[in-house]
Parts: sequence; C-alpha cells; structure tokens
Amino acid sequence: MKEFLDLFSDKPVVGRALKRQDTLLKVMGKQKYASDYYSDDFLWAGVKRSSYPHAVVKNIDYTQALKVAGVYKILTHKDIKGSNRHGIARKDQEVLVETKVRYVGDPIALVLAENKEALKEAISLIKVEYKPLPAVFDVEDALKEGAPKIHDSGNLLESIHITKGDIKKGFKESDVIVEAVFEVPYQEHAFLETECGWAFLQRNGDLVIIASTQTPFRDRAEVAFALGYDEEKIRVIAPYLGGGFGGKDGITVQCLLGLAALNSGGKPVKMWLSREESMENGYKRHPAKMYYKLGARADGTLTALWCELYFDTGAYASLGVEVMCLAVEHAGGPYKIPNTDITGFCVYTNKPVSGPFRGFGVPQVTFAIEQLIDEIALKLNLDPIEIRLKNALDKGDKNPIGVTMIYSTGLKDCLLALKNSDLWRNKERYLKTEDRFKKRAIGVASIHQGGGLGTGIPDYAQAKIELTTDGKFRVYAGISDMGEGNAVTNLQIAGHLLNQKLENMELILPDTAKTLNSGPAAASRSTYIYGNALIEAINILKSRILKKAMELFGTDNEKEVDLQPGCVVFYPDNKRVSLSEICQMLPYEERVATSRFDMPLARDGLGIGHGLPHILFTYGAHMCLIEIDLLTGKITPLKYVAAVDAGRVINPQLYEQQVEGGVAQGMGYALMEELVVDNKSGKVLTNNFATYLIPTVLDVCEIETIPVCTHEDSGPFGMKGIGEVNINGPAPAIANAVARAIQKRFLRLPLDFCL
Amino acid sequence: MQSEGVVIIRPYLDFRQRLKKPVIKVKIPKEGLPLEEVIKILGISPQEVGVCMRNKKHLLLKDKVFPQEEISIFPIVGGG
Repeated sequence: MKEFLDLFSDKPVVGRALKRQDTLLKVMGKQKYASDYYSDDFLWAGVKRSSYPHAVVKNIDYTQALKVAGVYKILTHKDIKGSNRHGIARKDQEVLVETKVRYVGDPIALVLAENKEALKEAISLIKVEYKPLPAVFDVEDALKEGAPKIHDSGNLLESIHITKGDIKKGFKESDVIVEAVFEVPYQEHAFLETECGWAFLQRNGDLVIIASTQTPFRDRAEVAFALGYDEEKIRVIAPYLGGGFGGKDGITVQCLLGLAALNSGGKPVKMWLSREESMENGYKRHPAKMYYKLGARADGTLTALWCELYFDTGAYASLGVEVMCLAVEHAGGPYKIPNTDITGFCVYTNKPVSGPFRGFGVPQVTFAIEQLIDEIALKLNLDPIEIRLKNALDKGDKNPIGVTMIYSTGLKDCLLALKNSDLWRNKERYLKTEDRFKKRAIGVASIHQGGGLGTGIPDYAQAKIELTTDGKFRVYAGISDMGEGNAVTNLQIAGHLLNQKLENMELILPDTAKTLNSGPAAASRSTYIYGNALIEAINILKSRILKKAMELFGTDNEKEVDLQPGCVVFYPDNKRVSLSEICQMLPYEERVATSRFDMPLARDGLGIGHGLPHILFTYGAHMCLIEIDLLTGKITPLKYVAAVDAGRVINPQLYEQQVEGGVAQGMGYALMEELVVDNKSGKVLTNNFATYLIPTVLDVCEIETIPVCTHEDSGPFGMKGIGEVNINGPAPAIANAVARAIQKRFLRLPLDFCL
Repeated sequence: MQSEGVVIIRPYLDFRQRLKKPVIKVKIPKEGLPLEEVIKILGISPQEVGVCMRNKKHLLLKDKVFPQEEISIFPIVGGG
C-alpha cells in the first residue's frame, strides 16, 4: 500500500495525481459513511410496501404488528403533519401512500423497532386491504385512449418537440436513409452503499438527518415541505457516499427518516435498505423505446434526423422530464445535422421509478444514433472514423437542436486520437483469430454530454474557505463526494493556489449547517462549478492574508511577500510570519472568504425549459475490439480505447478513474444489465446480484485512456466535467463491433441477451 | 365587511433565503388573485418558480388563490 501511495504526490499541484485524503481511511474501514452510524440505544425504521402495482388502499390494519415485542411505533400518512408530498420538479410522490398505490413497492406504513428481527416481523404482519386497479407497464400502452390512469393529470407527464431546418427537404436530399426502432431497459445504479441514513431530534427541536445523498440542501426543503417541519430547524449532513451515480439525487430515505425521528421518543433512528429493497424501489435508468430515421448524402454528410423517444418514468416523475429533455438534446449526437425533427415523451407506468443516472438520458439515445451513423458508413462503404470526422461538431457550429457551440469542442481531436491509437493502426493484427467459431471486430462511437443543469434552472455553487486559528485552511465543500474524489480535488486546487501541503488543509463535507448551498453533485458539474467558485474565494482570502503580511513587514510591494506552507515569507530578508499569527490579526469576517459561480448558459434564445439547452459539453470518441463466439453468442470485449476531451486534467488519477468507471458501467449496460419487471404482477424479478448481473473485473477488458487536453477557458484551470460522458460510449461501440462482426445489427440492450 | 384578506405563502430553498422568512402573509382581494400576481408582490419573477402547491395539489401560476389559503412555492430545481 505504502509503495502504491508513494507513486503519487503529497503536494497538491494541479496536473498531478495526489494522495487522496480519504483513501487510507476508506480502505481501513475508518471513514464513516451514512450507513456506519450506530449508538447504544436506537431504533430501526423500515417500510411496509405495496404488493400491487396499481390499487386503492382501503384499509391498513397494524394491530397484530404492534404486538410484536420490540416494535416501538407504526406510522401511516395520518401521522404526517405536512403535505406528505415530495418530488424534485413535480411533487407527485407521497411519503406514505394515502389512497392509491402506483407501483409494487409504494410505501404504505413506517415501522420503528428496536431490532431488525422485530422490524421484519412487524412489517409482515401489517395487513393492507386493496381494491386492485388495472395496471399498465408499457409506455405506448399507457398513452392509448382508455389506458388505466395512473395520476389524475394523465399518463403523459410531458412531451417536447424540437425542429431545425426543413426535415422533408433534408430527407429528400438524402442518398441513403436508415431507420430503426431501439429499445433499452432499466439499469440499476448498483452502488456499494444502498440508500441509508441516520436521524435524530435534538433537544432544541432541530431535526438532524445524516444521509447518503447527492443533494443535502434540496433534501432539507423536501423534508420540510413533506413533514411540515420548519426548514430552518432541519439539518442535513452528507458524508462521503458509497456510490451514487444519480441514484441518490433526490429523496430516498430522508423523509421517512425525518418522520421516524420526529416520532421516536428522542431516540436516534437508522434506516438502511437491503439490496433487494434498493433494487426494487430505488431510482433507475429510464427504459426507452426510440424510433429513429437518419439520412445522409452519398459522401456521408448527414442531412436529416427524425426521431421519437418514449421514456418510461415509472410511477412518479422524479427528474423524468429533465432526463427525457436531455435525451432530446443529445438525440442527434455531437454532429452537424441541418434538418432535425425530435420529439420526446415522458410517460408514467405502474413500474418502479426511473430517475437520474449517470448520463441522464444520453446513453439511451447514443446507443441509437451511433448505430445509425455506423449503418450509414457500412451502406456507403465509409470508414467509421472518417464519417464521424466529416460530421463532427466544431466550435461555431450549430448542434442538432440549433445551439451554437461557443465553448471548447474537442470531438475531432478525440476521433483523431482514436485514429492514431495502437488498436486502430494495428487493427489487422488485432482482428486475427485462430478460432473459426469466433469473429472479431472493432466498433466506434462518438459521445458527448452537456454539463450543468441547463438553461432555466438556477445553477450555481457557493464556495467558502477559512483560515483557522491554527494556521490551516479549511475548505467547506458544498457538493457531495460520491466517491469520485471531487472533495480531494477541492483541496488540490486550494493547495495549489495557496502553496500549502495537504496537512495544512482541512475539508468540511456538505452540511446544511456549515457549508453553503452549491446544488447537487450531478450533471458533470461538481468540480467545474465548485472549483470556479473556490478559486475566487481563495483569491479573496489570499489577498487579505498577503495584505496583512505586507502591513506587518512594512512594505507596499506585493511582490516581496508570498505564501509558503504554513507561513508568509518576506523575501528581502527572508523573514517569516506563521499563518496562525496572521489569523490572530484578522477579524473573523476577513479570514473567511466566500464566492459564488454561476454556470454559463446558452445564448441562442432557445430557452426551452426543463434544463434545455446546455452550452458546455464534454466530448469523447470510444473504440472497442470485441470477440464474438459464433456458437454461443457470447460477446467478449478484448480492448477498449477512450479518447476524451474534458479540458485540462487536474488530477490524472481521478481522470482515469472516471473514464474507466464510466466505461465499465457502460459495458454492463451494453452486455448484461437488465432490471426485469414482470408485466403481469409489476414485480421486479431481478432484485439481487444473482439475477441482475453487473460486470466484474473478469468482464471488463483493458481500457486505454487518452486524455485529449483542450483548454476550456471557462473552467477551473481549463477543465470540464468528466463524470458522466464515458458511460455513453460502450453500448454503441460494442453494438457497432457486433454488427461488423456478424453483419447483424441488434437494436436492444443488453446485447448478450439478444443472441 | 372586509374587502381583502390574507393568503399565506411558504417559500422554500432559494426563495426562503431571499425572503428571509418561512411564512409570508400577503393581502389580497377577497375574490382572489392569480398566484402570479401574488408572487410578483413578493419580488419573485414567475420564470423562477418551479412548483406551487395548495393543499397537496399542484397549482398553476395563472390559478387564483384566495384569503386563508396556504401556498407553498419552490424555485425551479434540477439534477443530472
């Protein structure tokens, strides 16, 4: 371990790998996650859930359950003093169901018990009387006239239609037109730490919730509204997360935990979903059905795109509309397509709730558009990289929904990096196989991902940094760290700008009582937006410190003083004053600096709503060598190359980690992951890792990462977000390789199950 | 007979930070006023509003609100 860590710098310098402050504590099991909270005397909270996908709840009888030894209390919606509603953009979800359940798993009653055994028994003894209603499990069925109505407002949550140019003319000018219908399934986040938290009521009435969450500030408002509790008296703390990937972008256990703590007689309450409960009830990637038609001239120039996208949001909205909108925005890929006609539908069904997931609607459409691009290349006998280079967006071009790219646009550089890769240059050697029942092929895909929450949604970060009395710098991170390492990146930025070692800095993780609201850890925004805010705050504080030092040393020349680790040096006679001494000379308000940074917005006048459009994009080009067994259909990725333009790399180790993590999760989406819901009972049939397969180290091949370092002028040190984009590549790259290997195109994920 | 009454507004998230109060009472005519007009009185632009709720139900900005009602307003929020 020591040797491994010694490979990395302990001096925080931007552009170099850095020992993560959290690494040793995490591997030794000493880092406290939300799931790690226990005390001598606490209660477990658990939920009685619906066993019907759609039914009226006529009666809840928990008299037998209350008799179980160790059961403290059982709560229903009648015990909730607030609105009993939550939801990010639409408050259509009840904390505890009042009259109607809408999917198998809807929470009906909350049980508090002294131990897990009593909790389990009590939950099983709660009797719910239902009046079953017809249910609907397919998006297109849900839109048919006479379909069972899931919400009073109807089953169509939202639709959006965007056009550019003249679609009829575009197809008329096309020499080749390809059409297909693509289908992609639910994908489970499969984080290590399932949804969990710990809550307690303080004597002063403050409700403290420590939760595994990507959105502590938004959670506080949601809990306040749902439970009717004063927002000012709620404190949400977000320790390091054991994975999130979007699945903790919104309420999971927070409202239930808050309700439990308000009714626990002063005892702390713990809630931690089992893997099965998490897979049945957690948010998932939206299943989608996508109708596509793409036209091109004989030379491969794209002329027209028509598509209709049906996104299944399940029983509740979550961020379904926003996910669908991002899919619409990315439906045409990172290409110049002059004529487009794109429609998206977000539809309720009686299934588990779809929500945010790394990629946020983009993996679905990338699977579709990249296969059609490849199909056109095959029909026109064009090189798969050349056709993408020919149509790739450049700075100044308009994207498929008409937004002009005014920020760094490095797709061509990524494609050229692929072209220059060992795999492509030596493809003949890599494609050879001695086994006559196996075939090899290489597939290519371009990818992109909008960064930030998009136009129309307030999108800002507020950084705070403090010089402490012991001469250290304390960074207050307002954005959760899901494990990706953005917290340590904050220290790296601070250490770099303030010329301090890691031991001279402290990090405060998101806490609504201490840190400032910086929005969600989501949308590839964390380091970009918080980093920008932090740089400004650092510069303010640094200027104050140096000014005070100049007063001390009696100089007006700012070049004569500089920050050194733990002190300020006065160069003319090499005198030093410690930072703790400087701190004592500064009033509190001067040793704390804050700053706010707002995400840049598109200025094309295309304010469509729901976060559309974006202006800042990360780009990439992926390539995968696969081998397919002609007897069994098994697809084995052999080598993967990911060239990514995420601006300047601040920390190469974290950069590579994000690329490899995204590709591995994308390979799961491509080849094996499918959360299956029974279309009669509405039950999740794959609720554990024996039935829902995720890739292991044996399934993921060697991944070569090529950083294409453009410089994004608006980003901290020139960087852009890299958290999501890489999950978009594996499914189309592998599907394209399969199509080239066996001359058959598969339009449904996962690919392994298609054969 | 009084010609006006009070509608209770509960602002959340950024609205609450800005208005610095958990509950705000706004005088409105007894025949009601579109919510859009009420939030303008508070200095909030309709474009900033994401969700409005009255008695557990969503409310549109054009919908009228009446004295004694309690309205919760949330700014537009997003994730990703």
